Amino acid sequence: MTELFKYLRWDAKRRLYAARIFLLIWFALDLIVFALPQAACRWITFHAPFLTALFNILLALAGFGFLFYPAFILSASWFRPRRTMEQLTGISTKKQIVSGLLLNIPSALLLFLQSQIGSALMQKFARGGMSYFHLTFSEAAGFLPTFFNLMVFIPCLYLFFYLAIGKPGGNIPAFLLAYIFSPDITVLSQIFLPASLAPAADLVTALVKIVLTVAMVLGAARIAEKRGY
Amino acid sequence: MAENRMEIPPMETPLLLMQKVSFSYNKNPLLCQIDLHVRPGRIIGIAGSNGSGKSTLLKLAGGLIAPSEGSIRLSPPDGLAPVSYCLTSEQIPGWMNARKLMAYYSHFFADFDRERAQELLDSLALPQKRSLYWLSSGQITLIALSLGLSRRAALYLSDEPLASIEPKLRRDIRRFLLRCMPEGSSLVMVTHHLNELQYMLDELAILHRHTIRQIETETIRRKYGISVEDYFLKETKND
Repeated sequence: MTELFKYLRWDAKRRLYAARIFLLIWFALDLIVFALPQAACRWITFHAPFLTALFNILLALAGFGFLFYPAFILSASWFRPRRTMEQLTGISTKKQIVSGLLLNIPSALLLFLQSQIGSALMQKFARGGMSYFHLTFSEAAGFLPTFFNLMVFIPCLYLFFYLAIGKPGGNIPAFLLAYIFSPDITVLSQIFLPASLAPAADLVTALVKIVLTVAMVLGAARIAEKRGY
Repeated sequence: MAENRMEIPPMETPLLLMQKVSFSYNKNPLLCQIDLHVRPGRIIGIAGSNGSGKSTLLKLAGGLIAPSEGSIRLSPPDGLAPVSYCLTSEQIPGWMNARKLMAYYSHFFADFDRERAQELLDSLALPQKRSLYWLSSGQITLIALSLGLSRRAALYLSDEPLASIEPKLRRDIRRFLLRCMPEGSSLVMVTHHLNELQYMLDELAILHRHTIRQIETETIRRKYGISVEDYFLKETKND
């Protein structure tokens, strides 16, 4: 466990440094919009709507980033020379994957927070029928299952397929496979559920996904080690 | 398929002993039944054509990847780490600098001598806080070698330390390696610059057609009367 936390500290620092320009730009944009007087916002709305559209697009990108970034974190640099630095640490591939999964959570939350802050700031430009991107969770979806799905389950499926495909351009087929299999597993686990367990369908699905997550992590680590990634 | 050949006198306990080591990438064989040994206090050059498995061999020796067959045994003296793999310029992210790299080494390697590393970095007179983006590959190589050689290890591994570097800096790197290599330790380096390094290398290992031939450079000069590079070209002429 100490080994994992040691690696996690370095991995977190590494990813933060790699993303620092992106984060600074976001922070700067938020500050600029926050600091703009209302009169300036009104002027922009009427005379330079492309600026609000641009900020809106950036918000949408942050929102989609929240959905897809966890998988990106896991997939970074498996086939690149810089992987050597991770291999040199001596930590097992399994623990490297677990570290990536753990870092998914704050990274994705940061993106989600940014989309919420941005949405609040966009109120300054609101007028009449103008709509803008706003990421929300509905009650029906359930925060915890959705969070687990997006932060853990789908990224694990994605990583497994990505390493199994074994080529740098395998991101897109891996994504497609992950996003196809994820709802299928939910459906299949409920189709084959014995009638007696029907009231606990959600719990059973969750357990099936947890078991599959562990299997995907172990499978991905085994593929990476066997192929020398 | 050519067999492994060795023209090396009987040896004391080797530091590194690779026996019948094989490795494949996606079921394509790269190394087949490789035998390699490294004695203490030796500098060994590994040469071969592109894609022959030189870097892979180095990573196997460094324990970064596992062989599909065979055994790799490291027997370091007491108190020394078995191996220190020196990073190359492509393997280090550009946003890092010498200080951050030193922090990485301090963080993960108990055998890392921070004082020695600082001393070596100071002797290079290179900017230590500047991101590697702004340094040349030769400068990054010198920084990476300083840090790699600052680990208290029995065997140092370096992958093409002279690649893509202008002649003056190549000379500086050669001198740096000779000056900073701890006594009694060994160095294995992948290289294409055989003529430049021939008087520095004690042994040459040629990777050819998935196998290896290991020979002392003194034997090449004495027995064959040719340069190390000419010997390499002679041994690989059917490629």
